[in-house]
This record gives sequence, C-alpha cells and structure tokens, in this order.
Amino acid sequence: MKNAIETRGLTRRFGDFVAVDNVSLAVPEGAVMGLLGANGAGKTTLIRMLLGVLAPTDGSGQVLGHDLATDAEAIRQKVGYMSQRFSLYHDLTVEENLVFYGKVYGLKGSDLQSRKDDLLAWAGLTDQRRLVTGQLGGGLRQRLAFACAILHRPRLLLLDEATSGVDPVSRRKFWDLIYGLSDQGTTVLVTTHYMDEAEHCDRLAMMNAGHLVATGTPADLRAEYAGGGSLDQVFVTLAKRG
Amino acid sequence: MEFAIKLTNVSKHFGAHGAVESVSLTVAPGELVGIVGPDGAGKTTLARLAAGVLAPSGGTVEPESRGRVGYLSGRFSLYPELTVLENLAFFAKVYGMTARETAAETERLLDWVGLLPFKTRLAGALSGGMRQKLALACAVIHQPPTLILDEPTTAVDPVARVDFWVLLQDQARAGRAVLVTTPYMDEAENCDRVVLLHQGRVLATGSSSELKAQLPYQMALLIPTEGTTPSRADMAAAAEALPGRRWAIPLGAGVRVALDPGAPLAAPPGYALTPVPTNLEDAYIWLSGAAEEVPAQ
Repeated sequence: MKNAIETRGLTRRFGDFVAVDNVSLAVPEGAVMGLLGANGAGKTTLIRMLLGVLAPTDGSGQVLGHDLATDAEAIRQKVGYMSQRFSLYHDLTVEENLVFYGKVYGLKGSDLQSRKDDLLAWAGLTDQRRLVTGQLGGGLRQRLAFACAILHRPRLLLLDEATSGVDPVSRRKFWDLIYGLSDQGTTVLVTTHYMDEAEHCDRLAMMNAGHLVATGTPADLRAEYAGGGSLDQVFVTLAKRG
Repeated sequence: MEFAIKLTNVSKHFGAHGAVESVSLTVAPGELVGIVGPDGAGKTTLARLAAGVLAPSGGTVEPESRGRVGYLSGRFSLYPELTVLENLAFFAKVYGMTARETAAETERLLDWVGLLPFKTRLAGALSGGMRQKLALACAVIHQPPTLILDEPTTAVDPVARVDFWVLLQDQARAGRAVLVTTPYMDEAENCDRVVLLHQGRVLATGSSSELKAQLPYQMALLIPTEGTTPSRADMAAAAEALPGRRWAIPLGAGVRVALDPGAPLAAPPGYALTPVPTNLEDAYIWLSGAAEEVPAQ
C-alpha cells in the first residue's frame, strides 16, 4: 500500500528547543490516523511541517508524493484543515458559508454550484441550506465545517481537536462521514485529547517531548502499554514515562 | 436531608427558545455531582442557575447561602500578566480576606494543586492543565461550602485531566458540595452521581454504573480475524446480519454492536465477536430515544 505520509528523522528546532525530535512516521493512504500527546509534546509542530507550512530543520519526508523541503506549495494545495473552533461565519447561511470557502479555494461557476449541492447532500444539510449558521446545533455546525474543509477535494485532511463535544448521535454521523472519506482514499489525521475519539482511529501515534514514543492500532497500544486496559491508561503510562 | 444546591422544576427560556426545561437536581455537602451532556444540552445555563447568577423563568433554586459559592467557568479569566501568587492574592482580596488569612491559605492551596514550585511564574506562561489548577485554587480560596465548575476540563490533556478530577474529589471529601459540567461522557466515572442532560431536560440521574445498567442490550465488538482485511462495507454487512442486532457503529478497525440480551455471540466466518463493557454513551443513546437515528452501517 502507498504511504500518504512518510518521514525520516524529521526534526524541528526553535533556537535551543527541539520541538520535534527525529520523527520517522509512515501513514498509509486512506488511513484514519490519530496523533496523541500532552500539550507541548510537539504535535502541532509536526502537523505544521506535514502540511507544508513550516520547514523542517533536519530530516526529510514526503507527503502525498511531494518532498516536504522542496515542494511544500504542492502539498498545501492538496490538504484540508478543520479546527476545533470550526471557523464558520455565523451570520451567513449554510449555503453562503460553502460558497465563501469554495471561492477561497478557487472554485467557480457550475463546478462550485454542483460541488456545493453534493456536499450539502453528503453532510445531510440540504434541508438546512438557507438557515443562518449561528442557529445550527453543534452537530450540524460540525458537519458544515467538515464540508467546507473538503470542498477542494483534499487528499490529506487534518481534523485538529474537531471531533469531540457534540452529542453522541451527531458524533456517530460525523465519524461515518470520516470513514466514508477514508474509504475513498483520503488520508485523515486526527488530533484529540479524548481517548474515546482516539478509539475511532485505525491507528495511533503518540508523541512525548518531541519524540514519537509509540505507534499502532488502538488495540495494539492497549495490549502493550495498559495490559488490555483503556487508552487513557496508555496515555498516562507513555506521558509519565517522560 | 440538607442540600447545598436544590433545583426544583427549574426552567429557563431565552425568548421563545427553552434552554432548560423542568430540571430538578440536588447536591448534598460532600457530594460530587456531574451534569453530563453534549454541547447545546443546557449545561452552562444550568450551572449559572445553580450558582444563582441567572434567574429561572420557572421553578425554584435554593442555594444554602448566596455569595458563598465558588464558581469556575471553562473560559475562566485569570490575569495572564500576574504571577500565580498575585492571582490568588487578587481573588482573596475580592472575597474580603485579610492578608494573614490569605498568606496561610495560599501556601496550603498551592501545595494541594502542585503549583508551589511555580508560584512566581506568570499565569500566562502556565500550561493549560496548570492554569485550570490555579483557577480552581482561586475559586476555593474563600472556602465556599459550594463549588460549581462549568466545563473545567475542556481542552485539558488527559494526564492533567486525571489530576484535576482527583482535586475535585478532594473538595467533595472535604465536605463541599461540588457540581461539575462536562461534555465528555467518560468523565462521569469520576462523579458520585450523574445528571444526564439532553436538549435541556434530564434524561436520567444516578451513578455511572446505575445509568449504564439501564441499557437493555449487550454490547460487543466485531473485529476481523488476523490476516483478513475486509472493507468497511463488508464489516457493516457482517454486523447487519448478526442475530439480535439493535444498532451498529463503525469503530476504528471494527464495528461496535448493540445486541438483544439473549442473542448468541456467534461471529460469522472471518470475524471475532467479543463482549465489551457498556459505556455511558450507549446508555445516553438508548435513553434519549435516538437509537433509531444511529446510521445503520
């Protein structure tokens, strides 16, 4: 299977501080990969390098077949991003938010029109298309933000603390959409502090103090670091190991 | 029984929109009670009603004594340009404590939350978890009998969250009535009692294990046997065909299924079907009547 992400010894320093230290990571195309770690573990720095917005100090890597050091611009055009805050305009309607983001990504005319309609149907928002976004409940708003993040058909999607907080039924619908995207070959990178979100990922990578300290499926990590117990235990074990 | 917080049939409407509808809840001294529900369920409104800072549209709120409540919100504003010590001194002064009382209490609290080595650090330079611990210390410096915390663990990393819940349990063991809101179902395990909130109404109240026991189904995990790599559609079809299947949701490399209690745990060829514990989210889905809305595959 082809890898969407492949890094060797990836390192980023800020002055004397080593934020990411010698990280070698492989993520197969279409995987739903969870990146875990305490605040300050280096997740954000690693992600910024993978998205092509921060140059590595050392090491190398390819993302979607492009070199991180020399071809960052090509990577940036193929990635999507959704954050915890959802970044939607609350005073615009559902449809207007999609049109806004579509234009930002350079879609226009009938292409934008059809992509918008497809995504409204895909996210289950067709009936709410003319509602003002601020009136939507958390689950619907989350799905709208998700639709906005994939308007330009990214091959790699980052969900940064974006999957939790909504009601259980919305959460299940949201994960269904994520899995659907992954089935079509989009690679999804998820960061979360909540281990029941991490449980939804195919595989996990855990960071501590800039190092990659463990990778594997949730079941593998639970077996290896918590004697079959919970992912919370895994996290605490690995984070306290220092 | 004497309650520190007692809400009886409390409603709160904002215009035509009902944020909280006929909620009754109690917190006794020494008890740690969690209001658990998703975003938009009415948790913050309920916390504010319980604190007496918001007047109900209907029903009654009986705090034991107004002004003796410690309150901490998720967006609690410490002063980032003041040190840890200065923040505590500020809140002590607001609460009318003398310098002597403040000094004695400050040392004790900083020791308790593990911030003694950081007392001269600027609050703005603390990690998220440490900031929440300082905020907690500020909220209890005047030794209120009642402590209300609105989403104190949101965006706090798992290690710091474990520590923070221990601190809240300390507060309850010290005799305070503690009311906490959280959107995270798994945090309910840390509470003596849980009020499960859904669309402004109470779905159920009880300990986490009592609530989980209300689910009339058995939960199991369907996972492909080693060496096979079925697609998610294959796995969904296999889960669909299980005898006694009530609902199924994809979960990582497998499918989590709810089955009738008497249904055999018979895995189709190429799969293993193992019983897994019920979690509060399963119970929530059942109690909210939303099981039908769970996507079939």
